[in-house]
Amino acid sequence: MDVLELDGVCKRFGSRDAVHDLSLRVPAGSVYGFLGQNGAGKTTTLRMVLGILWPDAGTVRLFGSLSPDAARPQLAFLPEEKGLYKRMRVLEFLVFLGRLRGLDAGEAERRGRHWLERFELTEVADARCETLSKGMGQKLQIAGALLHDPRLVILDEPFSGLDPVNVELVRRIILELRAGGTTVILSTHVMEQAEQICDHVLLLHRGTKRLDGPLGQVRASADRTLVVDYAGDGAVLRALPGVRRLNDAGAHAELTLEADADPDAILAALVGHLSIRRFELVEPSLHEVFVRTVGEAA
Amino acid sequence: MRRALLVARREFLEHVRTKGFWLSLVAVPFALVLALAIPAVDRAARPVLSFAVTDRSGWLLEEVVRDADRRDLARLLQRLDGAEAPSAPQPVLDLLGHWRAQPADARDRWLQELLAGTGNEADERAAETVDPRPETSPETSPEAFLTWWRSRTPPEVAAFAPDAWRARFHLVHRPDRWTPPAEARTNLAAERIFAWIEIPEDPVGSPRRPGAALDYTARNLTNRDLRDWFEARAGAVLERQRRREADLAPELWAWVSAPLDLEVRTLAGPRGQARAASTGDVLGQWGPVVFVYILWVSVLVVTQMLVTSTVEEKSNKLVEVLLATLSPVELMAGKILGIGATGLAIVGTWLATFAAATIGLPALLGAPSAVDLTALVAPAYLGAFLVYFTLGYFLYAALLAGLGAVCSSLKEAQTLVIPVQGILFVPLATMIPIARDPSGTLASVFTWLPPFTPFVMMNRAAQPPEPWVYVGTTLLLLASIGAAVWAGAKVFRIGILMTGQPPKLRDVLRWMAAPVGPTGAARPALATDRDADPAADGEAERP
Repeated sequence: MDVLELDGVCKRFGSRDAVHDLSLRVPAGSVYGFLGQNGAGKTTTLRMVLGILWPDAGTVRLFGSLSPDAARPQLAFLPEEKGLYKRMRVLEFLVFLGRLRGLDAGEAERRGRHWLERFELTEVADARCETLSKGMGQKLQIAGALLHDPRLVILDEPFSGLDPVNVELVRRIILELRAGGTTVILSTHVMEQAEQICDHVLLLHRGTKRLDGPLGQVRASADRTLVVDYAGDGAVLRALPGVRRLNDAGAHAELTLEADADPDAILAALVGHLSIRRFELVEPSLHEVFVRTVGEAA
Repeated sequence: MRRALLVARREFLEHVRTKGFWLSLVAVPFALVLALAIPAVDRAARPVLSFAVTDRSGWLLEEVVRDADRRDLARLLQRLDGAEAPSAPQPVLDLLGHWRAQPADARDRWLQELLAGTGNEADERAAETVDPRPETSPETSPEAFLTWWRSRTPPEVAAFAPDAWRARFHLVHRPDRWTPPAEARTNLAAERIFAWIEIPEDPVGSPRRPGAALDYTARNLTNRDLRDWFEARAGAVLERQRRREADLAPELWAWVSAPLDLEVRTLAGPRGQARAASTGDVLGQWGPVVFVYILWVSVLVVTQMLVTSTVEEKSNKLVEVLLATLSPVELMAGKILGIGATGLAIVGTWLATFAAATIGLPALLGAPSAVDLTALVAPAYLGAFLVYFTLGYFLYAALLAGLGAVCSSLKEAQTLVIPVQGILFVPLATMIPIARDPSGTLASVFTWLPPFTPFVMMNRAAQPPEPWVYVGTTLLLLASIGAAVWAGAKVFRIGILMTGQPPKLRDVLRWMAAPVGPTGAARPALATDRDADPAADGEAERP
């Protein structure tokens, strides 16, 4: 079952297409990565999903419903620009968010204390929000988003401002959510994090979908790469068959292969011309897929 | 609605916890107390003004002192006579006993004769033979009382007769003694005395030859207390003297100089019977003006709080989190309700203070019982105030919440709200003219202009218009509030997510015209929508 369905969604700001003809499906229980450069249309898409903005065309269905109001109680959202009510106390802030999402005061407080403990914030439960560090504030916002056990959690750049220890803590919590059946949409432009967590990815570029699918499939669909560490005259690398693009650093070269290229033939062509220390056929990283896709589109 | 109330509660608590709220709460009562306390403190701290007199006439000063004593004592005795448990030094109470022993219509004359019979020479003799400061005696005779009275220091007199001239001024010489001008000038220059008064030989004059002028010399010309007092008392004595010299019968003189007796009457009761107008009637008619002013300050202050809060909400980056949970209209409604409740708490405190002050302070300050300030806080006025504060606040709050939502900084907001605040100044300008003519053309026209209706209807509360005017203007006001909330919500919905420069007026108008709803059949596409925050995904400014 798909938690979120977008069909032909468009959004314009003045003369600019912020999102153009976007269709996608987010499967239940997955961690779905929204990838793209700044200005690619990620946040605008998320705002349309949340019902903060209305699409100019197309439909957005959350849990099968066209009405964002009906879906709101099952949603959680952590925006890219984080903020807190400075004068509120930490636990009081969580209780306020919990009550807004339908919990009674007692239950909101109980869950608030639970999440403060999970995020190692128990000691600051009675502190004013304005006294928290950036990382603590970030964790408090994530806790606030998860308070009401949502079925769909939308996290926009959840790792920004966190130290490595807290990045790992948040990563672990996201994976726990997935294990519990919660769907997570993760918007980021840090490919390494997406690669570690996401099952599915969507790559947006200038408001248009460039790639969409399970992570392994997306990576496999991209061109293969040969990594060659060598000594000798690298001129021979430029004349190899089946190589679409060469990135030669002198002793280290990365060769992007055509779909029908034969690595054995390439190795044979190199033997006798270069002293080869490493010859490895690798699947491209998400980062490489991203750079290539965006580069081609540009 | 539940979520809007939660937002309202949070807004209320947030404001209640600020120092600004408590300062607002106490500012007006503090100002009121200060306004009342300053004159009281000033009165209490007022220095005794010493003065010297060179009386070349040989009689006027003595008469002035005698006349002033007679007035002060008459007033004091009347006050003590009306008190349940008169409190004063024993000699005064003894004098009260003698005074009460006289027939009621002969008491003034008895006092006059007492003072006339004990001139300053007798007083001087008494001073030599009688203990000048007997605080208690078995029974102080009236004559001995006068000796006691004249030997009191100003603070001693002030303790039981603060308005008496002997409590406020100090004549540095005995009235029958002549102060040499050179000595007076020296003392004046050295600031040992406050003023020096010279009485000419013939201050009375005749019908063909006006009396010579008195000279009043002082360094301080702003403090007129002594000058006004002496002028009034000496004027009265001279008038009496001229009457005597003209041989006018007292009855004839009383008739000639009698002031016009104009009794002000008003209509009251269900049948509109005429009756004498009281101070309360006059104050009651000015009461609405006070309420209009409080209403104006309240709406101005509370809507400004709303704008500030909206801009802060936008800048703290929580808006998106909230809008993922509740609708923009719920958020706006919550803010308006919460800040409205905050404002009502502040205004309620102001009103309670005002009511307590008008009811309790006159008695506390010893004002005459005829001054009935309670007419200022008639329940009808209080009720009308609460209704029109609520309606006026909602009208302006809906518009200003929308305006606040499109601003990214308080500076921007302050610029944008100037036109709205300009509208708010109109009822302030019409406040007095409408109070003078509550049924005039100005009042009738402005009553039907929704931005001014709450103020003008409050202004007309002393002479209320017909019931149909109340019904009609309230319906019109409610419709206007509905329209303002509709327009404000549409602007708020988009503006609250905007960054960068504020939109142009035509953008705002287009937002109002744009339909809101889900895509597909329920909502036509907006091909040129210049909607919220293109800064999303890192873009800096709107296109």
